[in-house]
Amino acid sequence: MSTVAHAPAHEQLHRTATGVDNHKLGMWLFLASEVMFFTGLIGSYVVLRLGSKEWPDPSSILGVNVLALNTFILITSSVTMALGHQASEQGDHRKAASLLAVTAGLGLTFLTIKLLDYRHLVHEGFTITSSLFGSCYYLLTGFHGCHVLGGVVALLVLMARARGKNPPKPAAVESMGLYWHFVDLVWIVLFAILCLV
Amino acid sequence: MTDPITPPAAWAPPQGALGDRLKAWVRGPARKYLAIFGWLLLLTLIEVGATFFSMPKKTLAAFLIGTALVKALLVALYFMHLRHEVRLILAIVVLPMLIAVLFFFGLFPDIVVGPRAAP
Repeated sequence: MSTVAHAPAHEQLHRTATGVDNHKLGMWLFLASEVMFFTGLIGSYVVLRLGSKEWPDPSSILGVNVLALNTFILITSSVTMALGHQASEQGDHRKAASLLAVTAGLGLTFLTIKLLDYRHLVHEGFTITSSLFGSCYYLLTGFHGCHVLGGVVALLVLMARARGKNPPKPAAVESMGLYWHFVDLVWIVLFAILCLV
Repeated sequence: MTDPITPPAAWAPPQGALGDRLKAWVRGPARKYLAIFGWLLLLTLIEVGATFFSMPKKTLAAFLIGTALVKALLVALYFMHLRHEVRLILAIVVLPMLIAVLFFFGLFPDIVVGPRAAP
């Protein structure tokens, strides 16, 4: 996408032919591909589940309370991310950096709990090869976990930049926020269909 | 594109005791996000609580999926600001979802008439 050719130099960074910031448009296009990716995975899970004669009760295998705690952590991280973007828009880069650090910390807490959950489940004999449900659970939550890990790395990079002399533009923080909220949104759906239903 | 959730740039943190400043912050720029956070938390508690009640499996599944969709919608509309986005962004989000749902329902005949897999 090209920027408007005749706009003054200082406006060319913001004005685009579509009226949408390039960072944001790029992130939404990426998220559109992610929607397809996760819908494919979730769709396969639903088809496998509905096509099976029997399916175990997830609450009898999974620690629902631990997974609910993880949901709470990820929802909280979405709030801190939104507030971080707000601080960045207000030009308070120090506050934005702190809120990005809190978001990354909550993401790491989520991953730690997830790994401990995996360890406990494997110890109990519930592995990726033990059943169809096991394969679906580890595949879906594993891919989601990879996305959280990627988000944490990006958050830490953005936080370091926000603390430096050349802080990121609010649009960059917003794009990061879009990705993080999407990861939260996917977990909300996974928690319900994989762990509760 | 302006973001109606974001308060005007003129907003400045008030001076005074930490409690007063926190109160002003919660009532000011953070209010909307904290309200959505409260709703998400409440819906999650309702979801988990519902699993402890004995109700028909299909009813429970429909309720839980419905609640999850409401939560996902809240995140998309308010945290991702889709509520105030331009048509281009809405098209970028909605089109792949429609295509994915179409593909998904395309597999349904396999479930209805196909052989049942082993658990």
